[in-house]
Amino acid sequence: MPAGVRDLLPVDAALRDELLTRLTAVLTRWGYRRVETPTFELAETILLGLGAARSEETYQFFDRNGRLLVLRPDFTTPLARLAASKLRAAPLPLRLYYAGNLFRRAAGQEGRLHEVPQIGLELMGSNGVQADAEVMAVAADCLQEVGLRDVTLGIGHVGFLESALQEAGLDNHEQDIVRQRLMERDFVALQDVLDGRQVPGLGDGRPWEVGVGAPPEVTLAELAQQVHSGPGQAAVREMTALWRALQAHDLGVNICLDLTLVRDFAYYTGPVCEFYVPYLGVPICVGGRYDGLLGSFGYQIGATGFAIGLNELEAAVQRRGRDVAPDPALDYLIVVAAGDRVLALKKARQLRAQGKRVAVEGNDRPRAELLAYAEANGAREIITWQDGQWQTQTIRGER
Amino acid sequence: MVPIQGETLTIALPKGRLIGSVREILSAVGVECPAGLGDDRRLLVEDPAGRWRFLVARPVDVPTYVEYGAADLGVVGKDVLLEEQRDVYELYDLGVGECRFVVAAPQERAERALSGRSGTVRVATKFPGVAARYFQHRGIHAEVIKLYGNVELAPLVGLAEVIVDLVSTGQTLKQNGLTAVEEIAKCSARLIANPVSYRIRGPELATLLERVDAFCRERGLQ
Repeated sequence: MPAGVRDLLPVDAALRDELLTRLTAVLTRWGYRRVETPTFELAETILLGLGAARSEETYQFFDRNGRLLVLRPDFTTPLARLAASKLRAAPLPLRLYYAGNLFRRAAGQEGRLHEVPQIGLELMGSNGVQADAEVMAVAADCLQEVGLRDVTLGIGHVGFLESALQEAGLDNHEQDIVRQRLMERDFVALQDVLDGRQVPGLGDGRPWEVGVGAPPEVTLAELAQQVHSGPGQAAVREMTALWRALQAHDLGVNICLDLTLVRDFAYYTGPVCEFYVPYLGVPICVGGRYDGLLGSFGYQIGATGFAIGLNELEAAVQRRGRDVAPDPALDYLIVVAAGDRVLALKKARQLRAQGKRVAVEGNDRPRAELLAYAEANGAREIITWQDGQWQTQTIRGER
Repeated sequence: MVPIQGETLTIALPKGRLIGSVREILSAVGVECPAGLGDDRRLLVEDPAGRWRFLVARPVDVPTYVEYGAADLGVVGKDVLLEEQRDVYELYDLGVGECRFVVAAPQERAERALSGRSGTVRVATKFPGVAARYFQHRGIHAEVIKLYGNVELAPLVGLAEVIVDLVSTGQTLKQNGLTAVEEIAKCSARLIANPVSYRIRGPELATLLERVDAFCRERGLQ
């Protein structure tokens, strides 16, 4: 097998199916409808979202006409393309969800998967914090639905960070470096760039001055004092309104406001979020507002969304989720001689009609093999045709 | 993978040259580090009160434990962080274990080692990631040859024209007739954190960092 991909064995695939069933039920209850887009797109489409600088992170190839194609590295950009073209006439807002795999070449990070399964949603054409709060509430609902507890929601704000850096007198080049350092999570180098200058939300770059984990209302009150420009004040008002809207949703998660939180896609413009649990070292769910992306497809509407990483979700559920256990593959195994197969198939049809899981096997194999198969697939009983009637034997009693 | 435990803070410590100073700094800020930990064979030690747990790893593995959340915090040299490129927070420069990444060449060829060449430079190093990125950044086409030790030997026997290595005093270079021609980066020990631990346990970490900062300033390490 090539690097960066994995197989799902039946037990893993069953867990994934179970999680997807539960998550799509949540998304449906919030009024979201599924769409599917192709696995590959024109490079020019994808790069509108990803940015040309990151094109080398994608898997690329040519079609017969020599046009550059890309395996999708995210879902948001293809969904923006879809919304701006085929769903142009649909009444707003659009509540859409997706589930599938995306592809990224994770350079220099050995052991990372290149094929990444995600489920997520986009709320398009609904501006303002109520939309952001809804999206975060759906995400929290999804994580709680699969039994995760002690969830923390981290919130940053791309627009606030930009105004704060401008107000602190950093030129465009320095602002880019600050964002780069935040992306690299390097506070030591961040302090060098800021060189003693105070930036609202970042302080002078010393991480203990940032106030991660302080109550959001305290942080918001401080930020309101620290920024003075129009856009900066507007961003603080927006975060305050978001905080209130989230309280109204009564999420049942811890909220951590952290202005050093930045995301890897350049299309984010407003609030950005990440969801964590204490027993997994990576975020399970990420997202944010991207008001410019649909505009680059010629459709001037704002949007917000999130994506849940299924590999991360499965790891978290396996560690702490108590109430997600996929059903076994079989309830019954019917074992008959070749001459009785017609009867067996009829019996199986009857049981399946009652919602039971049934498989039929011939009795021309050693009994131990059949028992091993039944046990490995969770069957509780073996049904056989003996003396003109069905006999049921519970498996546990035989060994 | 070891899950992060509720209240216990797990700290990954690097075996080797940094361990003494790290034990001293941590103990001074109230994270009592058992004497001799890292110099003996113990790999995992828990504080009797259950406040912290130490794991001892090879320096190169420390960022990995922290990235995956098997440890909340770790201490490791910047040199390892530059080579390994792991997704961890780099919170604080402890100022100990200072050294430099340099490009070095034989003294008699030092002037011409990197300038005015049209072809490929052959570079021997234990740090292929750092070397490859540096030469790419400099616009020099380099053939990076990975070695596992005594890198100074390579230019003496014609295996490579220059080396990229970590130097502290420069004595080893000098003894082998080599000299540093360019500095790539200054390195010292860093306090690192798992991205999720950093957000979920922010206030605790802030208190710890403030104490570390006060101690390091007092000791003139900053």
